Amino acid sequence: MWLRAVVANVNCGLMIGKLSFLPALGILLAFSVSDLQAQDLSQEQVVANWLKTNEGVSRLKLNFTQTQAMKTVKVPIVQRGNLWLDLSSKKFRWEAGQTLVIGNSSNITIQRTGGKKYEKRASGSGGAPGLASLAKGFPKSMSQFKSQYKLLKVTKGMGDYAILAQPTGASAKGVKTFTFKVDSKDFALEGMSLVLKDGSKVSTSFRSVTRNPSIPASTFVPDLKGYTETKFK
Amino acid sequence: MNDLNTYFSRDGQLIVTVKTAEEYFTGEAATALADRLLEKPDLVARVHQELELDQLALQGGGMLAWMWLNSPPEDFSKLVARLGPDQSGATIAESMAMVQEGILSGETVIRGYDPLVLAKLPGELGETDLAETDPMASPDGTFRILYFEGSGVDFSDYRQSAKWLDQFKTEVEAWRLEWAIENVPVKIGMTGTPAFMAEVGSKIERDMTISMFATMALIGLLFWIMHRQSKPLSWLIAAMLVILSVTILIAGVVFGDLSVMSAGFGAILIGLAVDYGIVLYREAMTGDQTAKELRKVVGPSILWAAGTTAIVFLSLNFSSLPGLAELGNLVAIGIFVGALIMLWGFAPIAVQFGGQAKGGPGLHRSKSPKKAMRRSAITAMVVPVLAVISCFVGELPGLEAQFHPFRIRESQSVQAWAELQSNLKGRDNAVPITITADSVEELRENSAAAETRLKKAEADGMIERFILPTAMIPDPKRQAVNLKSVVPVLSEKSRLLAEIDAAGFSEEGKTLTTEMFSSWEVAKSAVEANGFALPTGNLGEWSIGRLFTEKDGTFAALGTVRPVDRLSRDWVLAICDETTSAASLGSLGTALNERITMDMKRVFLPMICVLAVMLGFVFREWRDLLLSLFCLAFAAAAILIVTIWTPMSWNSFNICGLPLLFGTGLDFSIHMIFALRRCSGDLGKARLGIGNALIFCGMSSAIGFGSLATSAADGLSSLGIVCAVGIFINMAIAVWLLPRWYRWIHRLK
Repeated sequence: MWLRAVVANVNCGLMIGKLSFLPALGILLAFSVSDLQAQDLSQEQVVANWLKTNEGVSRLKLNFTQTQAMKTVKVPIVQRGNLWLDLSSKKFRWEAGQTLVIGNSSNITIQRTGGKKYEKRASGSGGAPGLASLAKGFPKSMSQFKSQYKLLKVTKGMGDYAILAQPTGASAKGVKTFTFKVDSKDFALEGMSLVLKDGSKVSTSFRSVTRNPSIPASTFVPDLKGYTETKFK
Repeated sequence: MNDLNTYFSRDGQLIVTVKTAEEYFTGEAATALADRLLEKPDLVARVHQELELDQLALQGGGMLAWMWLNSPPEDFSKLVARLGPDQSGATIAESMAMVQEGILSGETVIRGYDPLVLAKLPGELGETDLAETDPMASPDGTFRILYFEGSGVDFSDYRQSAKWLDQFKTEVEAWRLEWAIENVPVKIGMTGTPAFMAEVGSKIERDMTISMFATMALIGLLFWIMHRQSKPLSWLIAAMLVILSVTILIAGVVFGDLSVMSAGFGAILIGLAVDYGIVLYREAMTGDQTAKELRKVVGPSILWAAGTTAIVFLSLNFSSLPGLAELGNLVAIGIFVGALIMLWGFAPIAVQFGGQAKGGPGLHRSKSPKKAMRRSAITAMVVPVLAVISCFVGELPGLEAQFHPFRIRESQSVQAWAELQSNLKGRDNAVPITITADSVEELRENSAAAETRLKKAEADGMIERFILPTAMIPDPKRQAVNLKSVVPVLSEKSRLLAEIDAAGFSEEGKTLTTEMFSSWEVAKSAVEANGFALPTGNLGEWSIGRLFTEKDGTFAALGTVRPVDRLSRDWVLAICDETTSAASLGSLGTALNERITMDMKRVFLPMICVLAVMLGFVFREWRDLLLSLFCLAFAAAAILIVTIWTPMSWNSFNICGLPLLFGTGLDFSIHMIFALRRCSGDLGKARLGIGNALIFCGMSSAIGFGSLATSAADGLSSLGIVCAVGIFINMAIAVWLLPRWYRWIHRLK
């Protein structure tokens, strides 16, 4: 109790227990089949064009490759995974490596296939808000985008735009910036990267994106057979 | 307040606030500003700012190691067990699994820096949600603060502080303009001790200088208008300086060091002593006489006036405020010195130049004595009646509860402080509490005792919450026991680091562990040498220095409390004792006002009785005694009316002007009554001599104090207004009303 008011910095990283970066992954759902041409557009126009590509999407299946270049780990961690999303029922399934997360806007179940253990968390607990926010989907309008992010800068690269943004609210903790890379011709989201405040970087590129696929209901039901409940530290 | 200032004030620590529209840019700006100023070692010794995880791992290890060392031995032994070869490997492997699994949470990132889970502190410390409040940034992140430790100057000197601050501001402004071009506009504020000192010191100095020169010029002009002479004015000023010097010399021998409060005696003394000179001079103008004859004529009134005024100021010794008592003694000494120097030093000069003076008729223009007499009689009745009615109709005047004498109007540092308080969560209404003791052990005991009182006050609804630094006070016993446990583990450092490395963690991942082991090694030596250890590293030293300190053999700890009612004294009395004090300006104001109200009864009532006896001895005539006392009461009534019906108000600072008003009121009435006696009640003669002298004295003093009304410091400004108004009223009564009342009471036609 005493520490929070007086020791200014001991608290700011070592023991913060509620950082959550996963809202960003909601954005990776954004993709596009737009044919819009983008020449010398304003920053907001680029974002608006990208957001238009999200319209009409109610279900998604994404196949991604994620590279985590954590400052504390010698070798970057690369893992492939899949994400299913049903925006109408606000459910998601995220799997990568030996971790499977299934949830909705109110609670999530984390399963570790290696140790056959799982944990149920309510939304709002550590790690959960980000995952839960997946179920909320992605911004489809500028007002929705602005309610979740602050646009910092848009730069034009070789065949793409890099949209530099900062998440707002609870999801901003621990995250320095998000960069969304969109195609300069059709504004489809090609990938994204986030930089943590300590300088660690997590990059995600999309290998395949399926719009409005048919997703069996069982996809969003955790199969806990053989698993024991635990509390991951 | 004194304890807080003695043990935790940092003269050279400037707080800089950084604000932009976006959290991202605020963070970038704060870092860039810190980096830029660190390139100026002659200006900035070091910066303390919010650290990112990697910097925290590097700098926070010392603090964390110390906190473990200061924790209960039963908890520490569990940590030691966890570092053993049978457990460490599993903990490290689990940490790596968490990092690799891909769920990005804060916990995961922290585990990367802390594979041995050393950062999870035991007990209450470990359960605290430390992310709840961030003492360095606003909740939305758009506002941040940085602490700059200045270098190169003596920050206890406000002039040097001001010079340093100017240089600092120049550097910051140059950076700000450059940065805004590349990024977004950024607003910078500066506050903290150096900013306050520089601002308050410079402004008060400027105000006093302007006031002094303006007063001198106006007094010179007034003297010229009334006397058409400049040489006597020079002699008068010289006499003033001699009086001041002699008084300071005597005071230095008698009292030693003088407090800041007493420094104000000079102005009061000059205001009173100059009156004697002018009285002598005006009397010298009325006819050819020697210095001896002049002394014989005016000497009694000056000496009696000096005596009675000195008693007024000496009675301040009954006050419970030591500064006020000292001020009273100084003025009393100065008045006697002034009376003697004027009578024996300035009288010959007055005689020499007074005879040559042309002298105007003064400000007396009454063509109809009867009408004037009637008006005076009506005034004598109407003003007291109006005062009584005003008390019933209007609001009775009291002392302002929330008055800060040294608050500067439109102060940039105060504005920056207010922004800081409103932007940082948990800073509002927090009051610092200081706990002191002669030893560390005793300090812990005192802190524990304070906690008991604070808990009771919390239960009684007097305070909302409190934070005590008990855990941050070194515990020699725990440290000694824990060190015995950790010594065997220190030899395991290489093994543990090798395990962490083998698991795949980088050098950054090993930093915290390395730092903690190094800190324990240092702590071992410190405990052996001093009996207890303090945190090492920049962060540890900075953090502990804000909560625990030792000065001249006294140990002090700093906590905070949030009272329900800041102005109340009840919570202060409930939690404080001889070792615990609360630095609450709110309750200090209340306490001060209570004390002053009490002093008003304790000091002024006996003083009036003593004065009545004294005046009876002076006048030896009941009507003159009554008249003199009535003049004082009449002046009080007039001031009361002004206070009730105008914005003029009283506070703990300008209340100190009350003795001065009392003193001048007495002075003026004694001078005029003695003059009237000498002239057998001839108004014309009395007014030509003493009347004009009093007009000059009153006007010059009112001008002097009135010029302070424009002061940037609220205290000086209010003092100036009150004294100017009061002295003018005293003068007007003595010159225009008292003579007619004198004639009436003595039945003179």
